[in-house]
Amino acid sequence: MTEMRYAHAINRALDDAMAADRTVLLLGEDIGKAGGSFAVTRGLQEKYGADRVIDTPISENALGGMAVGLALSGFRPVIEIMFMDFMALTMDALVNQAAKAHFMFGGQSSVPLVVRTQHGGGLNAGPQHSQCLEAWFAHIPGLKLVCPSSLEDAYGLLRQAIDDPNPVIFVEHKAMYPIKGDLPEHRAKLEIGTARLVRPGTDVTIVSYGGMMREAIKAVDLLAAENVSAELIDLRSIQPWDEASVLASLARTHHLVVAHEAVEAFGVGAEIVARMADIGFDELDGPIIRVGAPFMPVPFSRELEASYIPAAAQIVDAARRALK
Amino acid sequence: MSAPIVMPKLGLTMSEGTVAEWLVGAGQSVMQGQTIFVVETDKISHEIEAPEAGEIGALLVAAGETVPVGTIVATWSGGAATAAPPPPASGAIELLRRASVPGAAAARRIATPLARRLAAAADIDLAEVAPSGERGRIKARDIHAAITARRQAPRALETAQPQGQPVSATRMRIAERLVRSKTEIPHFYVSTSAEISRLETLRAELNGDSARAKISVTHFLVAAIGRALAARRHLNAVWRAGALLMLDDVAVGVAVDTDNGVRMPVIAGADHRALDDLAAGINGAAERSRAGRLRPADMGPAAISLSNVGMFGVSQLLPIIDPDQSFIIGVGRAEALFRPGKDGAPVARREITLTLAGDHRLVDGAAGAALLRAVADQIEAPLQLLRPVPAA
Amino acid sequence: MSLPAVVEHLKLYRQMLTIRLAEQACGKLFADGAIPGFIHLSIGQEAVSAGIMSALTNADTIASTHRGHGHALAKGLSLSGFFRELMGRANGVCGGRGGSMHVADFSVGMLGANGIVGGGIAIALGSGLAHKLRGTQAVSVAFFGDGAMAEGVLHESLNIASLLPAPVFFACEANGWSEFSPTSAQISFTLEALAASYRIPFHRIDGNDVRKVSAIAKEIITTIRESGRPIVVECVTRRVRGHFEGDPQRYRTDTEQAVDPLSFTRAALAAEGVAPDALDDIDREVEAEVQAAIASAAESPLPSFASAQAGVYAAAMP
Repeated sequence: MTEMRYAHAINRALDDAMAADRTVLLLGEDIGKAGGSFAVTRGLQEKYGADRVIDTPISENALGGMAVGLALSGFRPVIEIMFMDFMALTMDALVNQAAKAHFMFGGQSSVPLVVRTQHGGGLNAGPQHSQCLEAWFAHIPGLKLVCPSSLEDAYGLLRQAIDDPNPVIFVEHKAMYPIKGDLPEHRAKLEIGTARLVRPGTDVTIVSYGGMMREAIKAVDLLAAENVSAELIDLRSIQPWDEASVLASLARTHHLVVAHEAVEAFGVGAEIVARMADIGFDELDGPIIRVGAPFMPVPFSRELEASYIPAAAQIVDAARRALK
Repeated sequence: MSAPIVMPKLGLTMSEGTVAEWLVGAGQSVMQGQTIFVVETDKISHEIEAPEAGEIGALLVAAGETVPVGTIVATWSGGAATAAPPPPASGAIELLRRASVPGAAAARRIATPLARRLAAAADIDLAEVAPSGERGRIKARDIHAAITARRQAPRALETAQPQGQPVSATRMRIAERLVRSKTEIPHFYVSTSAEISRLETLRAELNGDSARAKISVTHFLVAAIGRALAARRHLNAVWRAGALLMLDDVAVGVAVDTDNGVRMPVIAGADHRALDDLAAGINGAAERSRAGRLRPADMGPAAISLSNVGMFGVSQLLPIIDPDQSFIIGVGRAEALFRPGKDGAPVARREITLTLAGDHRLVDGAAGAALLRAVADQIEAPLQLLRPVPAA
Repeated sequence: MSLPAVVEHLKLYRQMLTIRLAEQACGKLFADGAIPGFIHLSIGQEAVSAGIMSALTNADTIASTHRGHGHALAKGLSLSGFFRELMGRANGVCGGRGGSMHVADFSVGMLGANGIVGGGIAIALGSGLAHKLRGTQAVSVAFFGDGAMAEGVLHESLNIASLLPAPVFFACEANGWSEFSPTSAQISFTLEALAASYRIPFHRIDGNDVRKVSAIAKEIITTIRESGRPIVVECVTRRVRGHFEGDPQRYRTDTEQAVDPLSFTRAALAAEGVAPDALDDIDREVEAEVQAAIASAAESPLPSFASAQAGVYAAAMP
């Protein structure tokens, strides 16, 4: 086990992937010389050269399109979109081109592209630098999206994403970059689409992912103090997601709460809830409750943002409601 | 608090309802759970109960009036407990917290999907389960509690119920048809007698030829009915949902007694077939009936049937019309009797009694009587039955 | 004119004719309801496709536009695969899943027609970068119309191609129209000035003379191969039909007779001594090929929904 920061675990994954496969390239704004605005790609251009770690101008649209072209040509580009908010500028390349190429060209080609981006609040970065937009991409057939919460999962999922012949969006959390954790010596790839049972429980299932996992764990402990045994599941992958594991948990606890930092309305939680209300209907002994950010842009000031981002207390409340 | 009583929304698509009946009057005090009025929609009839004890103010909608959902039907002031506590009702009356619509959904059981599943598996009636969840929700724990309570309750004495003997499916079917017939068809009956001396003489003579199959009274009757009906084609019809279905062929059903109940195979062309041909057809159908091997051709449409029970020694039969037909004639045994002749002196006669049951939707007594009399007339002049029917 | 040159000229003529007859057939099939959806015909622009593609090999790549039938056929898509695709058949070049705006054949370096205006430009840029990284001297051609000059991604791509640099042939088919508006009403600049801003060499060629297009294209592509740097080429041409089939073109004012690249080339070939009969023979042959391809498409099976649904994600190689 090695202790390192989350950002470093991602760096390690990129490093190992580039060492293992010459077709892996990195592209992005200030990822080479400057090592990335969150230092995730530090040292990689020195190691692999400017032909494999490519700095681009601030042209997200062309960057996305170029990555598609490279991927169609047998390379495995990993591009960095500095803030998930800026993904708005790559939408044509990701949604109309990358997601569709394998299908609309009748399987002649595939697009083994990875888009690394980071989402979330907690740094008071304001409305245009804090959004969680997973639901946008989870909705597009042809794209995959993962959002790991631990170092080990981040490493495993990024390696797997780079190997996947399909476009994968790998979502990091800006507030998690400095967090320390353990990366085992033997680092394995992690199959996309599997969830992890973080805490077993009997009374209520809490499903979460990404940055919200920390609050979810706190909520589990708070509920335990109230004699409520909560089971916690980390989705890890959003598209595809592990509905079988969630259903199995629901069959054990009969109550479900879904929590994420993204806006609650029309978010990832809505899909999970709807699906469980369908295939898990007869297991339900109470309503399914979502916890998500309110329907407003991410506010800037410390106090406003703190009220905006869901916390453990809200997850606890939601669990209580689900149990009524 | 004086929340009004409104026309509730009892279904997703309901937009209006009728106040079918007021069970209380203006100014009346009511107890919690007491039925105030009955709502009718095109789908259901539903009793609306008082949410709590209180007093009805004014009735704003008259009985029989139809109003949109949400319309205030009466004013109300709650909280005045004036009457004695309500008598314990059988089955728990479920009180639901009315967040928006007073009076709505008084009887709907809210239970979680899991609770419903458990209740169904344990054969527990949700109406007997006390809910512990929010909004009166029955939860799985409530079902578990009910299961436990049931196990602990003293067993009710099980009185020995006499068990009925199960009947065969065929018997069941026949029973259903007869019930249908008696329920749906307004039967009327006319009776007459027919003098059959000449018929019996003719029959004996015909049956003297041992080389040929025997002719029976039933055979003669079928021919007579066929011809009588052919002369009244407008009666060769059946009533179908408000319309008359005219039949092309003059067919006559014949009741055959079998081990498995009465069968009524239908003999086609009864109005024009030669007597021997009819006889052979009837005999064949009777055999097939007894063997349980009737064919689709045996079950064609007919407006009339014959049930001859004379061989069982009874004088008269008031028969039940087949539910798909319009008439049936019951015939009893030949009786020897005296009737006054022209000059008043007793004349020996041999008579059978024919009773026609008719579907009064289709035909009235006079026409039924005329038809029956026509059959009887043919029987009384049996030689005509041997002649081919003139081409139409 | 030397024999090899005449033979080459005849090949170009044949290629243009294949495109012309295929496009005319498409127009008819569309009107008859045999081709669903939208089609954007390139009648009048055949010399650009035939000429530029004559300078490319299968190792070179192109990314095309929504008006990509000519590009596709000239780059090497089979007529049968083409018609089967447009008519939505299971054995179409894209399995019936893409249709007119998404015809592609990766085996001949055709990276797809594209339904998004400008959508192929950055893809071609990426492909060019791939060639560079592999050191193969292959070239990537980014086709776009003059209407696409308004798209930001063109500007981004020119900038990046110039900086990297990348071996990209930016080929603008300038037919004077941006959908239903004259380009002059939508573009405040000239492509020449734009290329200069990005420090990319610029050429303008008459897109109606296929021999000229071919000759210049060959020079330009050689330059790109050797320099590894992009070049912008404006091919002045004519879009005879509407923006899409069914467009009544009420907005068009350029009613003067367009130069028909085919007639132009026929005349040129005649001047070079090729007998009209020989050209008619070619006409008949190509027409027969087109009709045979259409006939085979009409008899081809329809695609299965289940297999389309299974084709959303690529399976990992074991």
